[in-house]
Amino acid sequence: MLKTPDYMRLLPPWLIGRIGHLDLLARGVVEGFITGRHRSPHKGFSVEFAEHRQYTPGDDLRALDWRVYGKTDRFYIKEFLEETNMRVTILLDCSGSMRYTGDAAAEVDGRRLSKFDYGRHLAAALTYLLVNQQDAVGLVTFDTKIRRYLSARAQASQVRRILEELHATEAGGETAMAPILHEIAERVHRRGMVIVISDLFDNAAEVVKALHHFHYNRHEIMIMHTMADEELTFPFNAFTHFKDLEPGDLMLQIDPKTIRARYLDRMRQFVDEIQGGCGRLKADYVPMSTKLPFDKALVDYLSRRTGAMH
Amino acid sequence: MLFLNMGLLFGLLAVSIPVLIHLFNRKSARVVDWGAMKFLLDSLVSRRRRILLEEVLLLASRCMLLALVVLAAARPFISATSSVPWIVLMPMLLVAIALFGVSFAFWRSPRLRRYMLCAAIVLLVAVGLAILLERQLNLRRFGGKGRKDVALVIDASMSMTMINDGKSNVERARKDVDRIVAAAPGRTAFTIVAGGEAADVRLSAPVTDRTEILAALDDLTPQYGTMRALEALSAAGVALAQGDNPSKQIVVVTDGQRHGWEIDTAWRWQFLAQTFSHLPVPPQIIVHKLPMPSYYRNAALGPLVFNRKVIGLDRDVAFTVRVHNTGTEAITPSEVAFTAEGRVTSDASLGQIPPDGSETVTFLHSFKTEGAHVVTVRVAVDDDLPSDNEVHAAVNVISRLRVLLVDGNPSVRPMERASAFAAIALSPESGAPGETEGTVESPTEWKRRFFVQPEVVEAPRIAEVASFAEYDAVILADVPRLPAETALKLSDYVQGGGGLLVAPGKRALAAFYNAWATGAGDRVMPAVMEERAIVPAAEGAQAGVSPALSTFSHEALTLVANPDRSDIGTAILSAYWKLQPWGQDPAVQTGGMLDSGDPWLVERRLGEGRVCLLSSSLDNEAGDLATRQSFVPLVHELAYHLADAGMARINIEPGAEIALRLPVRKPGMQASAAPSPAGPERTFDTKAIDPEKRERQAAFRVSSTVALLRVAGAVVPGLYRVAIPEELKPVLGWLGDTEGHIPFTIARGIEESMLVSLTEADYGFIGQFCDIVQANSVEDVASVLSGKTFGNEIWRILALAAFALLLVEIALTRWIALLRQTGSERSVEFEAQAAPSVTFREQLRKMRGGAGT
Repeated sequence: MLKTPDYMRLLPPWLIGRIGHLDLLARGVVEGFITGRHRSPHKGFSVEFAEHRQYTPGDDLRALDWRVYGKTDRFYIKEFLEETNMRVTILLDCSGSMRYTGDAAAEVDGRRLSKFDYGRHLAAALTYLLVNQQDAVGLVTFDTKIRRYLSARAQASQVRRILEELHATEAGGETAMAPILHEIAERVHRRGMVIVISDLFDNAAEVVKALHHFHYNRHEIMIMHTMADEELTFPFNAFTHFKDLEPGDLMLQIDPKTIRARYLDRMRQFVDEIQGGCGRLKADYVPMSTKLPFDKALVDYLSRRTGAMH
Repeated sequence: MLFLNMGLLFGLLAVSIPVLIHLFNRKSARVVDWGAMKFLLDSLVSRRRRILLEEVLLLASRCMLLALVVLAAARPFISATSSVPWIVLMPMLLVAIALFGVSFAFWRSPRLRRYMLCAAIVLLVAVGLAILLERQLNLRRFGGKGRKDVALVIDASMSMTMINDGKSNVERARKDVDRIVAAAPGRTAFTIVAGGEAADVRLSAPVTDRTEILAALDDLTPQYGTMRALEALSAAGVALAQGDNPSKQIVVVTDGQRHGWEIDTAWRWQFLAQTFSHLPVPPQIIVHKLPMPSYYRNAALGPLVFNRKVIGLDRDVAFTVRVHNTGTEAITPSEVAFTAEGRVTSDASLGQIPPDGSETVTFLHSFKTEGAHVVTVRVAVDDDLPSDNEVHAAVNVISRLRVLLVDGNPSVRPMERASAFAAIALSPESGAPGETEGTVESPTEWKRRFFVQPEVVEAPRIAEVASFAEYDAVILADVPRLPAETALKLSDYVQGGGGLLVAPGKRALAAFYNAWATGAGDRVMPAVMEERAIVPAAEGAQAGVSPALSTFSHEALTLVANPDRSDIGTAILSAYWKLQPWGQDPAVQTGGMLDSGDPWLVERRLGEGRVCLLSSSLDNEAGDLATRQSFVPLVHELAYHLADAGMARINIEPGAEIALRLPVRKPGMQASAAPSPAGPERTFDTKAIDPEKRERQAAFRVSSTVALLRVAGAVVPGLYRVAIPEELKPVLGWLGDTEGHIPFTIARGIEESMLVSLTEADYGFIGQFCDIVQANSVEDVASVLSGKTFGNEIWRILALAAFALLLVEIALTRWIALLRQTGSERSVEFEAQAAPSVTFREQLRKMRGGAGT
């Protein structure tokens, strides 16, 4: 029996089963969205044939491969590399703060997911989904600097590459969201979609400003704001040593009760600021609490998104 | 500060409970790997100081709360003799405990924590040492359980009769003393001293027999005076010295009136302390203060004064008394009754007298019979201290005064005589008899009605006067000089209580007067007659000087000193003697001046009598003084003043003993009628009735001119009556009343009625000289006599403080929760929206529309 590669843990079969049916819907969503946005100058060019894919209602009939239809009596769409609808770059935050797990986090294989794990799974699922619908997917992992930059490709092998990369990456550095987003924005030249999976723990105004950079470059932005439930509710009561997950060995010994109200105020302000910023940038803000199983969260989100389109 | 349950103080370890909980919480803290550190830090930066403050307040309040509960349970006890006040020790203890607790809140500052812990330990040790020291001092001070001699000094002053809650303090004192004696250990020996104007030692040496002790208390009645505390304490010290026990204590049962304690006369207290130091151990004074009402009504009469020193049958005498309100409430006396010669006159015109206010009442009375009389004034008012509502005065009414006028100018023309005007002024011999009450008087009777009876003797014949003693006053009117023998007799007369007025004119020889001396060599005259000043006549105006009324300070001049009623100031003197008073002599007093600045009247006390020197004569030779209308009262006043020296002093001020000097000669009595006392100086024993109606021993020591009366016992203010022994009736009978008693009074000051209590400062003052302790109850006294300290427990205060602190702690916790917004935190909204945002939807619709075209 063939041994399943380790990286496939990020994309277990049951997950594929769960999100498989979203394929069409998701594609529809993505494609509709993308075609509206991308009046591609490359339209009508058939530079490089990529592959056939099954016709889905709503596909441009001009792309139908009549020859195949003649042969097989089935509708297939001819897809060309340059005609790829969308280039999606997934930005995954690998800073130390993403390592936070908490007691309320959802479990996968009997193991609670840290925010980073959650983000990895999201990234894997999205990659699969996007590649499956012929979109090009790239991955950027970063903390204070860009760790790895995989430019967007639409090949099926991209899934493996991204999964391998995700699997090999461990969170741990410090957070410096704003500068690194600027840097990434500079590097992602082709217009497309940018999906940021992060807790965005940085100055909210700076982060929004950096996202604006993507907006300026006419990228579509989707923020998957990954947060642990404890970070949102601060449920601690007893005296607690809070140990910083980011390098620096910062340790705080406090009675959580004394600062809960203020902490929650700050957190609410932060989330509101990010959310407001996203609204102004017309970015799609997706709150992702690790409390919810990520597949469900993703399916819910995609369903809602689909629902909003009909 | 001591503790009755000392062992419970170990419970103070309980204050470490909040600290231990605090430490346990810190130690058992869970480690949480945390991502959102930025937010924690942000929240903490603004809260750090407040969190520290909250922790400090909570730890301090909780530790102190537990400490207060434990301290209250340990029953802290404030000894009345505490040397370090609990109000200092207790806060020190609490501060130490608070410091201990708070130090653990400063977890991040080990150095500060160490300092605070050290301070807490230092304070705790200091408090502990103070408590132990006090324990030792108390043991030493109260002498433990050894045998003791105790003097019970019971205040028997007038204020002890005040009725408070239906009972007087005298009754309370007696009851309390009974209880003290009963509660004291059986081996304690007691002596009893009743403190009044004089100390009345009831048991001269300490005894242990309870029956004897209580018997000595049986007839204890209050006196009409003040408790002379120093005398009482000194007498108690003497009585204690008779005891065999080494430990001595004096228990003073008093209502604590300040008057009589002689606060501020340090030397007397020093003297007492010296007396005490002769005892084996100086006795400790325990003051058991009886309760005084906070509100009371009291009218008190001041001394009864009368306006004439020499009282005759000739005219009205004004008796004046002041009614004081020494209570705390306004009083309205219904009447003030005046009793003299069996007649009662009442004055009901007094209105309301406010507290600390007073009103004066005057009664006029004309005596009908000569001899001794007692005048009584009584105020009728409903008050709590009736003993001071009555005042007496003894008066001796005489029928006449004999004045000898020695005339230095025996002219054939009557009005040119030097004494003529003075004699007429004293007793107008000419003039028509008047009609009184329908009966026609003969000239002789008419003359007899004059109180002053002047007799004129010409200067050259003065040697014929056998004895000056039969005259009440002698006036030398421009007498040039006296024969040496007469001069000596006259000076003896003055020294024996006579009065002499010298009015020199142009004939007087200054050399004689200036050299005039008594047998012992003392000068007689109060001033040197320097020269006769003659005022040169000025044109168109009558030259001369006048007496300056404003300078009149002499007793005999006060009646004519008022320029509205007196024309003495208009008299013109063309010649007068320049007098130079003996400045250094304290017995010399200048009583009036001329407007030239020279003395007009100078007086000198000489022996028992007095000599007055006028710088002008009493005739009209060198001025018109004698023609002034006010000349008559002036001469009368001078005569009364001179005669007063020989009067019996029967209203006396309180002194060390009761002693009266009574002249044996009746004023106005002629030599032939004056009985001479039998033989040389003799003593006659008799009885006196004192103000408390008790009989006392008294004795007269009689010489040829004076009888000395001494009454044994305390100088209690009030009215006394002394029986005149039969043998003395011929000589002293004139001083007696109809029953043959000589009445006399000792003045009572108003101070005892003022009811001013001893203050803490006063106790502090006494404390400089003696070991004095204030006991608040009989139990306190009993515990001192048992060798224990006494005082108050303050656990109630601590329990109240603990309750208050509990409320504070609850309020603090609530306040902190409010500040922390515990339970009302606003959660972070982080749920996925039901649908994508509106903008997103719009955008989507636009795209779909675009795709459709």
